[in-house]
Amino acid sequence: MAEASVAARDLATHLNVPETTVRSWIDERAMPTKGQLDKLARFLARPSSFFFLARPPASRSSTALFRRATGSNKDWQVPSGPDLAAIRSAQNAQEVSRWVADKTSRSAIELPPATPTDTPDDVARKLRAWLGWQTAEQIELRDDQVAPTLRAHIEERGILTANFTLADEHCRGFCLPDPVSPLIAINTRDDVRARALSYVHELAHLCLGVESLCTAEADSGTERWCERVAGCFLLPDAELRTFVADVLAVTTVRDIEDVKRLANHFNVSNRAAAVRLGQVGLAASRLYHTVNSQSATKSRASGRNGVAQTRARRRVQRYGRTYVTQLLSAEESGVLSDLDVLEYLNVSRRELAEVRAIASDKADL
Amino acid sequence: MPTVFVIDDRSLLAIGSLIDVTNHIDVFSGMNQLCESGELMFPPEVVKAVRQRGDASQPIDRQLIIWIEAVQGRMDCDVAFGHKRAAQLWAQNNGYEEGLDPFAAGDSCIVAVVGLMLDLVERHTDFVVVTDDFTERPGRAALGSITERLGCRVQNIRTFADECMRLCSSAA
Repeated sequence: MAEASVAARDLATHLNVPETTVRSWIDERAMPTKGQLDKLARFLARPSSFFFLARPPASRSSTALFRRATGSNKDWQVPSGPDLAAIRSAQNAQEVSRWVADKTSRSAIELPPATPTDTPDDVARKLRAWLGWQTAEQIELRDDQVAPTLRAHIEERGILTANFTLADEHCRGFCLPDPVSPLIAINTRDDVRARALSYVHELAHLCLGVESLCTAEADSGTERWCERVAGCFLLPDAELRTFVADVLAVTTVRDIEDVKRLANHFNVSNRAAAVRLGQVGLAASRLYHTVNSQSATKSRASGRNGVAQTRARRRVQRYGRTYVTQLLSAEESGVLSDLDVLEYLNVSRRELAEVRAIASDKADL
Repeated sequence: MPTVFVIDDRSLLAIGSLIDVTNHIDVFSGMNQLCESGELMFPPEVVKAVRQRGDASQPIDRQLIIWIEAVQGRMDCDVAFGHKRAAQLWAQNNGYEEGLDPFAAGDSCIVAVVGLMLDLVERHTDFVVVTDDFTERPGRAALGSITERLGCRVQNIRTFADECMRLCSSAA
């Protein structure tokens, strides 16, 4: 309850019982009914068997670290129960991936190393080269294809990528560094055009080798540095300046319509374009504030392209092809059984057959 | 008192692939007899897991799901919270700091199965656990390893299936 920041009173309200009843469960003077236990498990986003543990297990280092971050002065940084569940789910996937790597002698991933003293432009250039990412390709894509295409490039490098719909709309994503199974997770509540920025932002954190839980407000030096790396990655300095000078034909961007043209050209969000213009000194004062106040507050989800959203597809979208393929390969080599894979992905045998088909298909998720 | 067989979702789901398709009906018939006489036991959580993981479009899983739903109504194997707590206490005291199934989504049956085993031990009931699951992996403890560490007997799935077939043919 403490980890999920849930008070006995909140739980009592949710379960429709007096607070004294909840306290009697905590003090082990009484036990909930089966129905109450099921509700309790759902509300705290834990399996029901968790509540039979004799003592709370030690928090995993990542969750504890995120929790410390939440202790700071901004309450929107506190991950809620379901968001902590998403973090745990990512940690579980990472643990399985690491275990499989150990059994199959999979080697470590060599990310381009970076330190916060490196210039964001240099790091962005190294990352583009490492991922084989071309700005020309980015411009050719449809705006809702940029994030999935970037995700595919990141996954080709062996990095686990997860998509969660987090309850906290301010949380852009998080990352869990690891030598063999680094993981990036992004919040799909975010606008589809903003997700590419989140992927690169978290990738920059991985290059630094630090865990992060990132919000929309870049409120620390590291956060601002990662945000700049992401900006430089998607809107490289030279291409950006050329577009402003040759296409917009201005020396300073003042008009929101120009910001939109720039954003549409590079397939990024209007906010990202405005921030980047500010970073390179091409934005009029208060341009970002104007753009921010006029940009849609409702996020646009990614297109489904007429593909049915089955549970199997949602699982692959959530955990990414890298993780799913690692599990399927481990099954093929006998490291895992089909029953292990069913449990890790929480699917039925029928759905697993569909998972196999989706994982081997190169189409966007 | 005859020996009781305790079985989990993984063993039930594995039976189909371990025995020849021509013997499936005999195995189910044998298991049916064991359920009728109270010699085959599994908690309701196992039924739920089999329904969740099985593929009803495939003959063997369909047969298993139909069978398990039919017998569950006649089986009284609810595991008390106290025995589930005992199972998780044993787990935490024996190296499974996060319990037997920390990655479980929703209900997981291994805690219930181990709870049932502890209940049978308490009641001095002779039982054998049907499992081939000895590989430790992240997220779910291996039932075979737990059974051995608890000092209980284990029978592999194929031997159990053979026994079910023998039971079926002797009844015929």
